[in-house]
Amino acid sequence: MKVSRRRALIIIATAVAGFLGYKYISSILYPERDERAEKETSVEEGATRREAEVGESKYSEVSVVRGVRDPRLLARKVVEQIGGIEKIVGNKDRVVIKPNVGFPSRDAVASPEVVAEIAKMVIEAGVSEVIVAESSVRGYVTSFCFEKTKYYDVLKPLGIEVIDLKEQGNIRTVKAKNTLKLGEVDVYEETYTADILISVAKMKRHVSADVTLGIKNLIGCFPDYEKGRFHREGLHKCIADIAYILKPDLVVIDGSKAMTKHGPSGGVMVEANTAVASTDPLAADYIAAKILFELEGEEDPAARAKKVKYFGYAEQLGVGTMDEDKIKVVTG
Amino acid sequence: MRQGIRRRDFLKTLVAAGIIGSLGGVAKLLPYRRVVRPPGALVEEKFLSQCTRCGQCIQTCVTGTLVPCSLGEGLLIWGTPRVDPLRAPCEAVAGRCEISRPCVENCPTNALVYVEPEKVKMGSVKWIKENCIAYRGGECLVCYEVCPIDGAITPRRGIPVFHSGKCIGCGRCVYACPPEPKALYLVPDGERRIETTR
Repeated sequence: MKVSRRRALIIIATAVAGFLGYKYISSILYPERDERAEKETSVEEGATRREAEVGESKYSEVSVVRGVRDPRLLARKVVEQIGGIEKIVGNKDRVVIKPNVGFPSRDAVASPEVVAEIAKMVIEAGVSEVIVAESSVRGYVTSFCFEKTKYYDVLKPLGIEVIDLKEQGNIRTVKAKNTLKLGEVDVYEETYTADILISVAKMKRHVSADVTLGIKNLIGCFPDYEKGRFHREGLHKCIADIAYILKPDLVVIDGSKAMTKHGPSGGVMVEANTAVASTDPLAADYIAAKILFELEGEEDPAARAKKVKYFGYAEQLGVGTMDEDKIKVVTG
Repeated sequence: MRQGIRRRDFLKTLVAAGIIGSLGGVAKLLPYRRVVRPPGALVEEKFLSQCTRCGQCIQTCVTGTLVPCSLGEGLLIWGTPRVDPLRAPCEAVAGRCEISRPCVENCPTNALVYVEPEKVKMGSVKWIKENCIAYRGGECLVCYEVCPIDGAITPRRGIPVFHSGKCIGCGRCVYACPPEPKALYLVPDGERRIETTR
């Protein structure tokens, strides 16, 4: 059979049209997911969440409570020991609590009871808006983690809004200066624009970051694609950067049950009945890391804690101090 | 004038009948890619005969991991569901779909059936070490962090070791793997498929 030129062209054109049509229909039915495009973004030039406070008191106070079994009491005591929440929230009206709820397992998250007690204290201090916001580890749905770890059960009766940032969060692009790695970074606006940001962390070990406490917990203030980027660009420097950009006003570390040896999940649980709190994020983390390594039977916990790489970078950026001469530990 | 059917016509008919009759069989010889199926899929042959390509599982999947196989992956599996961990992980284990699975519940022909979370095994993960941040000396064990199965990924001197026997193929590690291109991909190796519809 002889095929004329015209017929050959028609056949080719039909085939191409058919293929394109198929691609088009499948792109409508099953669109590629572009997380970045799903959210509206706004840009913030050259900023960190709050200005570095020059001329702050010469030492950082870190409150440590040990041997209290009730997590609510533990939380209350540890905050009261550094002068109470009123001193921190002042007359501000939007307080965001960022708990560590990375996984759907209670061992791996900050106890909802601790978060609830802190939220209660904030309300008692006269703050009108208290929000609990988190975005879990990649591959886990935050609302599912909240549900499994009883966050909704504990917090909703108190009338506290619990936000799944992956679903409900807005994104702000921050162009930070003087950082180690991150020039421009997308952050969940809810946490960035908070008048007061409280990081409520779980005391645990971490396989990539060594320890995950008040500073590392802040990684949940960033969307999933940024979390991946931190690993690509060098995790420890990025963790220091995010601490510098977000610098929380208060860090509370829940060590009612500490996760030792391994983490962020599946480590050896120790009933430490401990909590650490400070307005200096690095000092709180350093003291908590010391406790964690002490629980693991480390011979020199202080030296070991100093070896956590991002602590050094954070100190370099002025996030806080881990110089024991400048830290005043307050115990009950 | 010769009587009856001509020898040539007879042979032609025979050959034509043979070709038509063997089309089904020939279709089975067509190559297709082995893909990672949703949890509780029947053994491939039964799955392909029972799946009507209605797309219900894909439409109702809460995580968005299920996608239809493309024509390029094989004519026979065109339109059947597969797990795409680049879009999302499958949450049949340690996720929202432990107890009730929309893909299974909405399958009109029982090509997908419910299996207990501890029996789910859709495949396993493969490692391309050249792409791995940890292997190249960086600080990353995200795969280990997000893995819901004890002992499926273990860190050794800061580098992940993958145990395909324990891996269930949920794709969390693939989804979360930070480098571009990724150091992990999912294969159906070791998958546990269902023999009969219960």
